[in-house]
Amino acid sequence: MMPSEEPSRKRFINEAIAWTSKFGEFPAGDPELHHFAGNLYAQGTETSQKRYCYAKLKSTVLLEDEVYEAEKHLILGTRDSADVLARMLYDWYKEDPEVHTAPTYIARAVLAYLLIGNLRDANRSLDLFVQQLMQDNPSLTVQEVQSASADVRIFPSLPLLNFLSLLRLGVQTGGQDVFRNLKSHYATQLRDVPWDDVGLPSAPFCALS
Amino acid sequence: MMGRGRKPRRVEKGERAAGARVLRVGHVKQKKGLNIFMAGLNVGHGLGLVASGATLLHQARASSPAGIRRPTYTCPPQLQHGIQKRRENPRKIAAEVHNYMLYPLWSVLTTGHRRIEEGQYYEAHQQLRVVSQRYIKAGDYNSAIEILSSGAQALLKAGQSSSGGDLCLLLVDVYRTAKLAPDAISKGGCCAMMLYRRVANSGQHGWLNLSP
Repeated sequence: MMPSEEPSRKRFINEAIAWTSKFGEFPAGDPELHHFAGNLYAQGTETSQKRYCYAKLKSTVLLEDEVYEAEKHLILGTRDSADVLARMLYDWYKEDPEVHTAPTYIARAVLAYLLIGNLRDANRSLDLFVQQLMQDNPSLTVQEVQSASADVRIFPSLPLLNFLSLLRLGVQTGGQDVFRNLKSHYATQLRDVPWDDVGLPSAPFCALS
Repeated sequence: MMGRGRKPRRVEKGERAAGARVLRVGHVKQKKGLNIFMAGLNVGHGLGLVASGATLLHQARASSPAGIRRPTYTCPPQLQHGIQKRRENPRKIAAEVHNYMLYPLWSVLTTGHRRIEEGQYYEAHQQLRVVSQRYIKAGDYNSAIEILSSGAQALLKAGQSSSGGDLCLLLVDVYRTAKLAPDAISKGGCCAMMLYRRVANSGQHGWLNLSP
């Protein structure tokens, strides 16, 4: 897509969403419209991906701006948006040559969903991402931890992914102290990622309790 | 009531219609004209995308760029033949003025579409802008929405992203001014616009076009 076209297109989408938030029943804008716009941005990355592959113009195939825009809309979208978001983040992750960066990609969806108190879509996107990750990397070691209340998949090589899975379980069952334990347990790994910026400290728990 | 005004007329036994076709007894002869025209106008926004939820995206996808059609508004009966010739003939020009008063929306839309087909994008854009503003001032929001959405679609289809985008923004302005609550039709209109925008852009720069 043309860079010079971006502003007016983005402006149109933003204006339309501002209109639905003013006259519709959803203060954050209409979810269907959000879903549609996010889908378009996510597809836009697909077409540009193909285009660039054919033309061999660039080595980077995903346009970051479009991913961020898509994300912004899909977080506020409908039930189906979680799938689209997880798929897009997984595609983005696949460009990354290093396997252990997977959690930083899906965290963008999970933490954002938890921040707005949408547990259902946080679970859904995480499950889908992990499922695809295991499909594409059969050599990845997995430990299935089963208990009466919940099943968790533990990846010894991806501690931050474990942090996310435990976090969403903790949000469902526990309180602040669960979260503090979790945070101190993974403190060394958490130091490497800028998740404090997105309000990680206690926001998910405040939103739900 | 025989032969008065626009009322449908009941055919008597043995009577032959003007077109030399024998009508059956009791067959109601409809008078063509304004009523049909008005019915033709209520097609939603341009494409008439009425959908909600997931079907919204599906339907919008299903209408591929090849599926974009000129809106099928019923045109005034005396112009159904020889639309091309009427511009040269002074009597027909008078008829055009007459039609403009009788069928304002139809003339605006066809003039706009003709200009876009002929490549006069700037003129079409300005005309649609001005006319829609006139309708907005008069409080006729439905007509303004009809003009803007159909004009924007035609412009985007022709690859004129900036003028089409301008009409799109005007369209949202009308939604706001009209205090229109978002429903399936108005949201579908917005979604269609976004989609056309994408089609227009990707059409301009195909996969094998090497310019960045």
